[in-house]
Order: sequence, then structure tokens, then C-alpha cells
Amino acid sequence: MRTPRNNYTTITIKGLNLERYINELRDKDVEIFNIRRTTYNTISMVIRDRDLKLVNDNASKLDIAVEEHYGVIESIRRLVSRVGIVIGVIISIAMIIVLNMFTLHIQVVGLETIETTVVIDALHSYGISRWKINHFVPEDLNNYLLSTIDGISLVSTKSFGTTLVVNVKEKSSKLNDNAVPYTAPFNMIIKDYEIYSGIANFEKNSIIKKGDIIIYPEEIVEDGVLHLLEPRAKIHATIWHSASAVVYKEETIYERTGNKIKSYTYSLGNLNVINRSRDNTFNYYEVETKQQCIGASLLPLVYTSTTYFETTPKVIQNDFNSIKEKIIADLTESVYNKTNSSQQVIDETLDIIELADKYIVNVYLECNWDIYL
Amino acid sequence: MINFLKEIADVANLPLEEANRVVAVTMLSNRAVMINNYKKILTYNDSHVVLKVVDDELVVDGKDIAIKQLTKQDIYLVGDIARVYFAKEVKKYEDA
Repeated sequence: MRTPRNNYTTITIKGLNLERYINELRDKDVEIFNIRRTTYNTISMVIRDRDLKLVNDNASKLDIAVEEHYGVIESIRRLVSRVGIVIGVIISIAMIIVLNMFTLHIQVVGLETIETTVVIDALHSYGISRWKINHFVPEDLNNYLLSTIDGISLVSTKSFGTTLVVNVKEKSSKLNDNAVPYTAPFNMIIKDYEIYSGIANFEKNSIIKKGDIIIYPEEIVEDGVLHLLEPRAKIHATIWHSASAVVYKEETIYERTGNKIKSYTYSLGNLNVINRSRDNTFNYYEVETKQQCIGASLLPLVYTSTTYFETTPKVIQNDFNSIKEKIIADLTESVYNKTNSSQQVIDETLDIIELADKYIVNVYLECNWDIYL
Repeated sequence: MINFLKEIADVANLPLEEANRVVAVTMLSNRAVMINNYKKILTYNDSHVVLKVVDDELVVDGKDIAIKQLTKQDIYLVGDIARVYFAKEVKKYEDA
């Protein structure tokens, strides 16, 4: 039976009466594989490398040609003879060994309300950072993190190859007798949630209106006294923002004609010293009022003027198509400004409604919102 | 293999020592044949193989026949095998 640990050789034998030769080899306990007759005086066969000498010695009037050597040991020998590959393998192994000494990735697990950056900054202040060879005593590092970061009750650190895993458990909610229920700041649909403390006033896929109470503080009794626990949760919800604009097809604007009527008074307290009032006779007008204090605190004279500017109405037609793109761009910018970094926009919808006298343009944003209390 | 021989020996009414000595032919469909207890190869080419066995000659006919493995006791033939027969027995029937 052929086994991987042996080397084998394929040979071609040329000559006559090859059956007699095969029988001679067989009698000498040579194991032969894959005998094929290629022509009337040629056969090919596979033998073990160690039997090659015996085969050659017995072949007095035959031509034996070695075609191929193969086997695991032969492959290793060929590999080793290629200096470039060997050097490359040695360099690669050396690089892997050296690189494994570095910390390439820091993974923080178990955080609920504390930001990951807080833990990373604490590690930096201890002297641990990425792309550095970090030697540390786990006990010391754990104690340092516990003392440095507020709000964690347990921490464990372990290196797995090039990854440093920091496992953190946060402290449970604080007692706060002034805790208030958490109300929804937007209309939303709750997609997923995890309550750490408090009593949820909703279920998955609940529709919540702005102002609805969603989590009540939890009541606990400690030493016979009733206390409240601040509501703490992680909520994943879908919310919507919108912006709209109205564009009238016809608009009336009022243009000044140039005519005006001015009235003024000089008054000292409640007493009108000089009064030049004139009645407004315009049908359409705009008003501008000015007031100015003249004089020192000894004589507080106040000048008040009222000017009526005559205007005339003018109907203009608005070409919606020419201003549509600008309106949409302004609305889009306005609605995006309503989002913040904790909201992820998943869909944007534009809606233009044409009525008899106006166009209404609406831009809606559907967002995923993650709330951490 | 010994249990198999023992069973065959019982069926054929042969003593076990003789069952170990005589030729045994095992075929796998028409793709492979294994022959135990052959003496030597008399003729080999890719369509006709003749082996010397005890008191007879075993002939294997077919196409593209190769000897997959050859040891002192066993020989494994693979290829498109058409017929396997004992030459002298066939001749005996033909003459009869």
C-alpha cells in the first residue's frame, strides 16, 4: 500500500520479455504500482525510492529511465532547495512572532451607558495603546481602571494574541428620590429595547407620541424607606423629521409709490410739547416708527415720529419650476439640521402637492435612533 | 479475509489449508479485479493478462488494463474488464 511518508519514483522500462523482469522484481519483494504498457516493448511503473537500486541492478539488458520523483519527503527536499522560498518563510515566521507581541486591537465589552472612549483614554493614561508592545500585570491594570473610571463595578483584562479584551461591568442605577419618568422627546415607534432599571410603559413596536411617558422610575425599599431608582435603558426606535414650504402660484406684493405722510411729537414725560400729527389717508401703506431721546437726564425730551408710506398692490405669478430645486435644497438642509449624531437616517422622502392656488413641498426623514439613559 | 476463506472453504467442501493455497479472485463490477495466490505473470498487455496459478492459467481480457499494485501474493488489475476465466478449464469444456 502506498503511504505518504515514502518517496516514489516513476520509471519507464524498455526492452523485451518484460513480464519475466516484473516476476523477478516481485520475487525480490519489490512492491510495484501502476504498471502500464505503453508500447509492445515499453512499460511504466511506480516503485519506492529505496527499491530503485535493486531495480537498476536487475535490469541488465533493459533501458531504465527515471521519469519523476514524488512524495512528501521529495516535496520537502525540493522546497528546501529553493533558497528564496526558505528565506521568505523564515522572514514571515519572524514577522508573525514579532507582530504578535504588539497590541493591534483593543476591544471593550459590557459597556451600557459609559462611552468606549472613556475606557480607551484610561488605558492610554496607564500606558497601553495600539501598535505598541504592551507589558502589563492584569491585576494592576484592573485596579487602575476601577479607580480611574466612575461607574464600573468590575473589570477584567486579557490579551488574546494581538487583541486586548477589556470586560467591564457597570454599577447598577443610582438611587435618586427626585427621579422623574422619562418622556418621549419625539413621535416614535419602538423597535427594540433593554431596560436596566425602571418600569417600561411600552412594548416592542409600540407607537409613542411626543410627551408620552415611556419609563417610570423603579421603587425599591431599603432599610424600610422607599427610594426611587433612576430609569436606565437602551432603546432603539424609529423617528421622523420633516420640513415643509408653501409656494403660492399668485402672490400679491405691495410696492411703495413714493408718497408718505409723516407725524411727529416732542414729549416730556406724558406731556406733548410739540405735536405735529397728520391723518393717514392712504388705502394701502406701510408704517415706520422711530423714537429718540434728546437731551440730558435734566431735560428728557423724547422725539417720536410715525411715517406712513403709500403702497400699491401688485399681483405676481410665481414660476414654481424655476425655484423648485432651491426650495427642495433648502428644505433638505433644514430637515437634516434637525438630526443629531445619535440618529441614523434610513430613508428620505420628497413630496410635492399641487393645489388650486399653491404648491406644498414636504421633505421627510425616517431615522433610527438609539437612546441610552 | 480469513473468515471469508473459511466460509468459502466450508461451502466448497475444501480444507482450510487448501483454501489458503488456491487462487482467489475478487471482482468489483467490471472496473477492478484482485487476484490472490497467483504464481507469476505470463503475459501482460493492456487488453490481455495471463497469470500462472496453481494447476491452471487465469486469463483476464478487457481494455486499458493496468496493474494497480503488484506484490508477491496479490495483484490488482484495473480497467475495463470483459472476461475472467481459467484457460485450461475452458479448453476442457471446448474439447468436450
